[in-house]
Amino acid sequence: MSLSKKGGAVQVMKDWAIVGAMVVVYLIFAVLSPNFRTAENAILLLRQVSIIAIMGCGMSFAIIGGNFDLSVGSLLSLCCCMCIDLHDKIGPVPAMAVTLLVGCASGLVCGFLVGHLRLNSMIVTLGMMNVLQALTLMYTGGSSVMLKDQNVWFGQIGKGSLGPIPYVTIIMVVCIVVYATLLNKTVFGHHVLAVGSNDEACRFSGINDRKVVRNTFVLSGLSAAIAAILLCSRGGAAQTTIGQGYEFDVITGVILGGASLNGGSGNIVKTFIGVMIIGILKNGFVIVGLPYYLQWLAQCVIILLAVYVAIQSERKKGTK
Amino acid sequence: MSLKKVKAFMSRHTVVPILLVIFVLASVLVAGFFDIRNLFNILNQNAIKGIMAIGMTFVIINGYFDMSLCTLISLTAALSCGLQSSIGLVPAILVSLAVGLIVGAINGFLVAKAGINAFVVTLALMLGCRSLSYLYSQEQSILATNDLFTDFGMGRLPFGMSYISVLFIVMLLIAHYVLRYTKHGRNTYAAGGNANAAFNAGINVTRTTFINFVICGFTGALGGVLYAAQSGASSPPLGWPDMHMLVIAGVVLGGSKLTGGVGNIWYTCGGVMILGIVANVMNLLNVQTYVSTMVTGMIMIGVLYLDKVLTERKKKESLTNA
Amino acid sequence: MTKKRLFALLCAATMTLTMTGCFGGGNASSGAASGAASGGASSAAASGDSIVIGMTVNNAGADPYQTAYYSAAEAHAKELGVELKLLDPVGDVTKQQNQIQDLISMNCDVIVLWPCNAEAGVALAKQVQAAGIPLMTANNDVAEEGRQYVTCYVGPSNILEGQQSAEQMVADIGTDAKVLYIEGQAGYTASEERHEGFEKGIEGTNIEVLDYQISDGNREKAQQVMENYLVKYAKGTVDAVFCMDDNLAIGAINAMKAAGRDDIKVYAAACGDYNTLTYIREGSLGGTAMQSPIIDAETAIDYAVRIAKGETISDYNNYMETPVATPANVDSLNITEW
Repeated sequence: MSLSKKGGAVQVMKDWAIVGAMVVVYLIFAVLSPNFRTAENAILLLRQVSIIAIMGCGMSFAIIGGNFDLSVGSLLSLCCCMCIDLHDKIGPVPAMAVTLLVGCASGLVCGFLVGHLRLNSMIVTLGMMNVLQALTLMYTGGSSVMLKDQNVWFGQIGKGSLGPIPYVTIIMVVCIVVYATLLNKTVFGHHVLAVGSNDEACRFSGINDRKVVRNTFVLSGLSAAIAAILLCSRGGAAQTTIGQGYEFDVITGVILGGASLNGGSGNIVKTFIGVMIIGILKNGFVIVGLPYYLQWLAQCVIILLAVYVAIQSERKKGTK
Repeated sequence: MSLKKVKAFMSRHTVVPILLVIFVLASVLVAGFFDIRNLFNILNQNAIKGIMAIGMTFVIINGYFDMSLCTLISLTAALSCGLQSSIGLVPAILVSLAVGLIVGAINGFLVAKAGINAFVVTLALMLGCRSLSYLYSQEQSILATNDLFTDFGMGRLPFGMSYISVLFIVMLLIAHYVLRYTKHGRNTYAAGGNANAAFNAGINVTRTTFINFVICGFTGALGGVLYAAQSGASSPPLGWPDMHMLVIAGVVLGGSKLTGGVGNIWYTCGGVMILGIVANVMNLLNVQTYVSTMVTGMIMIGVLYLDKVLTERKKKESLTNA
Repeated sequence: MTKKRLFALLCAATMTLTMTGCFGGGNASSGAASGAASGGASSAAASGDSIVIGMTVNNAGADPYQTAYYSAAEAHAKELGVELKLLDPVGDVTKQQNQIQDLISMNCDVIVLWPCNAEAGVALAKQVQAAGIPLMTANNDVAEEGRQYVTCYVGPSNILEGQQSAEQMVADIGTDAKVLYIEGQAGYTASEERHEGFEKGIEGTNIEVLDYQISDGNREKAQQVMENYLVKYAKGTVDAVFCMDDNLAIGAINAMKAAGRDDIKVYAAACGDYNTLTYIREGSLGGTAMQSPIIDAETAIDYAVRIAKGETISDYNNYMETPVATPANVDSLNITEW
């Protein structure tokens, strides 16, 4: 750390280049469309990204710990269907509690298989994805579930807002703050970073890496369950395929945010920025009137550029 | 071969006992499974996935994996169907395969040369290919107009083996030869086992990795073309969202390690067949969707666990023997 | 070490149990057995006691409409005393290919195909014909080129549904209106055909389609698309939004309710859920063709049995009725609940 103060500032800017990328993307759409740059749309954006951002918080932990969690999409489906169905049967609060428990339990199973049995996370969570999908279909019998009364207070969690700011956005901010604190300010967080960067070494230094990995998956499952509650509350209904494909949006967001996929580094706020970029592209392409499929090309280019810049700055750091 | 040798073979190639158990169970318990027509049927059903898994095996032994496969196949399927009416069948196929080579080359360049994480690169390319596929096909399914194309895709030899299965077996043999007897094959194992040691031993790790990604791009593109030939059409969501995961799962269930350096082409074939047999059995039993999804998921985890247990036992035995 | 080995064995045993568990649950062990044994069953089929119908129905057990279809088909087959093997490719073209091969090797008397994709269905149809088994398409037909291999089609006319619902929309909002479109899934035949019907329905009018987006057939995504539309198009610039089905329409309605907008009328090409009638009664859904999965499934099984018995079906297209429900006529239509 012999960098001069000026060099440090440059480094900080490079580290946060992803924020610049987000601003640029936002400005491009803002110039192209007057409807895009309204305050109303900005709030809409924050509302739309909240589900993926919350899931991204948990996924960041899994990825920083050196693993993937592909099961979150199916878990989202299962939790949504359970929450809606149980709402009318056992009441809103117990339903939410059960949903959160189910999320943690699923995370625990993945965490046990990956952390304690040391199985490959990608295939294990792919297997779990299938199992959870099956459980969803078994639970619902394949049909979609709906709240009998659409005007219950439970629906307000997803639909309502405090002044102009939607509750889901507030919950998202709370999640980001909690998860970020957990990662950066607690012993557990440091252990996650240590395990991700080199699990061989930290086993000798006395960290119980099996437990740490397991807990990252529990956090991932928990965040998917929180996201599920918001998602199903917003729609007042859930179909069995509601979460399909979410895992890719979430992982793409985390990657854009720059969590090194070898594990050991990452930042929850950057994950949020990454998710925001995807959200802006999705929303912007519709509003500007471009075909939706070009957004994937844009994502492709932005990911490669972002990673390229990151690598360049890494190398400079290395040579100094 | 003595019993001990058989045992040693089994514990070194854990996919063999696992596959045997599943095969025997299916034959005994499921009527209609052990039937020559059905067995060829299973081979035919998984030939294309197997072909894609061959390229993936090279990349995985090298210590990486390729996610772009998932949408590359819909892109090449659309190109091969869409172009055959305008520029002819052979050029259309060549263009499609060339696209696969290019995508593989981009992957290889960014991973091997620029040193970017393979997951990130191939995920980005996956998004890119998806976009191009939708752009080219204008979100429409495209019908293959050339009869020769679809006749090849659906053609059968006597006994019901499809032409595509024959191609699969030929490619297996070529891949086996390349991995076992060529310098590139040995380099691949070395680079995947320990890149630094391989580099110090004078192996061009960059070039090896690059070539392996190109191979994977090629087999992916070929897979797309063959899917188009087999179904006589391309559809935009073909392969989305998890074809690459199924291919990787096949390779890994066979016992190749995602950390690199371990694996061979017959493991891969076995791993793909495990999933194929399970799917076939579920169809024969006519179970509800959720049962087959559930069983597939549990088999994935179960096979991975068994492989782990069997390999660990082998390690311990070799330690006590020494 | 023996402990580990035991554990491995235990694992294998669990797997076996799961598999045999499917035997019990799937009531299909006898099915597979008789399927394999009925090599020359055509004469038996004619007498009607052991007809085997092989079906591959896209998304049976995953999508609400198809799930209702599935149970109706199963119940009706039981009633008629025929054996039904119903498989689900879950939207995957390649999986359906495999299932057709499996059905052929199970020696079904007739195969009923609900293709994931009309174009890819052509090759499937060809394959079934080559195997010498009669083929019927249900709910979704294969593309024009493949119909020569198909005995007949039974199900709704997706094009007609799209057209009738679009005509209802034109009748409500006039011929100079501006509309938005929310599509189901790219490459999914029902989506494409309903869109074709929609185009037919607005033909000859000055209606302008301002925007077109897909939703992957997901209500939540349709809601997001609609939210973005609402930002893009201020009050009074758009008259109606047309959705591929009622599920997406409800997503659009949710988005409008959340934004406090009621200036845009919502229409759906077709509706397979009886509960959607509530939305029509309250007036938030302007109109949709009603398509009952029960009638759809029962007719399909009836025709399949007739084909298996060797009867000739005179017409190729056998459309079921899909009346258009609107807030005005919903109570007089007499739609039986499903």
